[in-house]
Amino acid sequence: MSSNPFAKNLENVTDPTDWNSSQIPDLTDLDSLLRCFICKEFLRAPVMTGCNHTFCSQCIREYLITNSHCPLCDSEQYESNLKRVIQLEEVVLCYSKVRSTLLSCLKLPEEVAQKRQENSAKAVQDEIIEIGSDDEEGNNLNERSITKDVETICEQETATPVVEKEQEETPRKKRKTAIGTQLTSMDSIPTRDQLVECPICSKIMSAEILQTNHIDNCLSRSPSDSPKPSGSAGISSFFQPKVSSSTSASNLSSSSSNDSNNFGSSYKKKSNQDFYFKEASKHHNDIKKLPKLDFSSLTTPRLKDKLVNLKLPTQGTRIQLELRYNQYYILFNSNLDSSHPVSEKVLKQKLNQWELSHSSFSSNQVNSKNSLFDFGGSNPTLKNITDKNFSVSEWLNAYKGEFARLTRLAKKSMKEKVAEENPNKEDPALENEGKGDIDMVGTSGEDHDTKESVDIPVKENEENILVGNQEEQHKVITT
Amino acid sequence: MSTPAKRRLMRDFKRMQQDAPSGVSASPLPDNVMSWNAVIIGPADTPYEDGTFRLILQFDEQYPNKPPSVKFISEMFHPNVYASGELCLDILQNRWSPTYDVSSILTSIQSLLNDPNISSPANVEAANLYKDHRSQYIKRVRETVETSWNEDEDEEDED
Repeated sequence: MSSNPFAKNLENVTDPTDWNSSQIPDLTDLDSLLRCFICKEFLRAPVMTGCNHTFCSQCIREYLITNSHCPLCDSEQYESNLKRVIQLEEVVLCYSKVRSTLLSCLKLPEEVAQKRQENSAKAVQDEIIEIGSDDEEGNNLNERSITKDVETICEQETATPVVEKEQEETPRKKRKTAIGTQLTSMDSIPTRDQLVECPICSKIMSAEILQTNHIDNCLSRSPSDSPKPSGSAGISSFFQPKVSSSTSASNLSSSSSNDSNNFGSSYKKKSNQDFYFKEASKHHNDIKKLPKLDFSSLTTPRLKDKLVNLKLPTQGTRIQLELRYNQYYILFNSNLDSSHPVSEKVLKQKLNQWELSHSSFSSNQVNSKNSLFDFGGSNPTLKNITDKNFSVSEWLNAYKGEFARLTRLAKKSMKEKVAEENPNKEDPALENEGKGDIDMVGTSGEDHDTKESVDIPVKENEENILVGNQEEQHKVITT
Repeated sequence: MSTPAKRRLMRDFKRMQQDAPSGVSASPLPDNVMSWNAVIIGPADTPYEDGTFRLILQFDEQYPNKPPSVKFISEMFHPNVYASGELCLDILQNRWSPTYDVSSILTSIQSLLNDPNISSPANVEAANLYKDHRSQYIKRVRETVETSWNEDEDEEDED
């Protein structure tokens, strides 16, 4: 693992690739599609552009304030064309609510996940070493790696349920097929239970038991330990449900019901379906969006009046006033795109936070161009990299070990890619060494086919398949 | 303090850790998530093959609405890389999109290595050699590849 202190915090960061190590890696796709392409978090108050692309309201509004095209397809787009997608908002909330539970339920038993990883790493190394050491015995090579696969299967038979072992010897790329067949075999052979770990008490049990009653029992026993929906970090921090709505006398909180401000608690009681189908009247509000201001025709006193009307601070330079209005305009209007808006008080807190982090507000002297990069402070290694005084050799020296680690990582990812593309084939760097008579393109194609057949999870056929596999590979090599 | 830019960079980091593209790696500085070190391995079947090229990426609070500053700190010989190591790459300037992340930036730079844009050269000599004297161009590139290995060896000695 990495020694980087930021790596510790990554557990709280969800990513579509979390599903890659689950029983259903295809969920990676669903997970990506429910995210905003700008912030990569789950869509918050999703809106659709005129070109039918969906983003978080805040993300796309922030972007379109200085640009006039879609970040995805580049077609001309304006903020005024954005349309809410109410149903998608509920879909995303619903998904992020169940995500972490789903992820725990679909977790591979630890030893399986570990072995899978070890195997893929081992396979890469072994093959490179083997081929490197016996150039002349190319024909034996595939037989040998099959033997290795069989050994792997035998090893695992004792430790893990039979159904799973087909997955073990399948490279990552083929996992999709393996999972598909695995699930079918679970349906037909109910005795072969899938062992999973309960996300609450960590007991290992069959998925069926876990899902039918164990998890409910576990949850009711210790509600405080129950896993929070993982998406809640992103979403609730955006809506900030904890801030009391009763103290704010804003028009927003008065016009919307209590529960939409106190989003967290209403959430458990009411299903997203109910909200969407039965409370259609709450999907719209009568609050008008803030107008975009044309600053060039606005004197500073007039601009201050506008800020006063919105109960926003009026101190700061002209540039700061303009930035403040625009940011509030984005926050306010995107909040109106949510079916679960927050109060104006929360918006003002968010505005304040934004100002604290924004370079144009960071120092008393406003020199936005210089201060933009001025986060290095006194640390010599954190100078702006475009600075003339930036010393490359100093930097290389300071991060020597780090670059060595990154180089190893990058090289490793390259080897893995090669192994994935050519299962049972060697490093392309070694391709030309003593293997000139073999048509590599042809063999790797057929190799995929034989791999598919190995994925059939019927134990009795295994021997036949492996024999068939052997023959076919032999044929491939000799043609 | 957590800001949208920092949250996004943590996501980018997670993505790089879980699913890094082939032949690239990157990681934020231990004390500043807004500055990253990165390594790109020269792609196979190109003059840059197996070179280990080091870069720095520097982000600001407007990321991902604004691109990061990116710079090679390994010696480079490439039509679109200035002597300072800075890049002339459209997606890092006028063609930037906030949908890009660290992973896609590095992948783009990786593919730029073998696919230079000759129309707007940052290194005129490299561009001319690339156009008219390809074998000399390749020779010069291989020299930088070897230099990048020397840096590796230094590191391994001292580790």
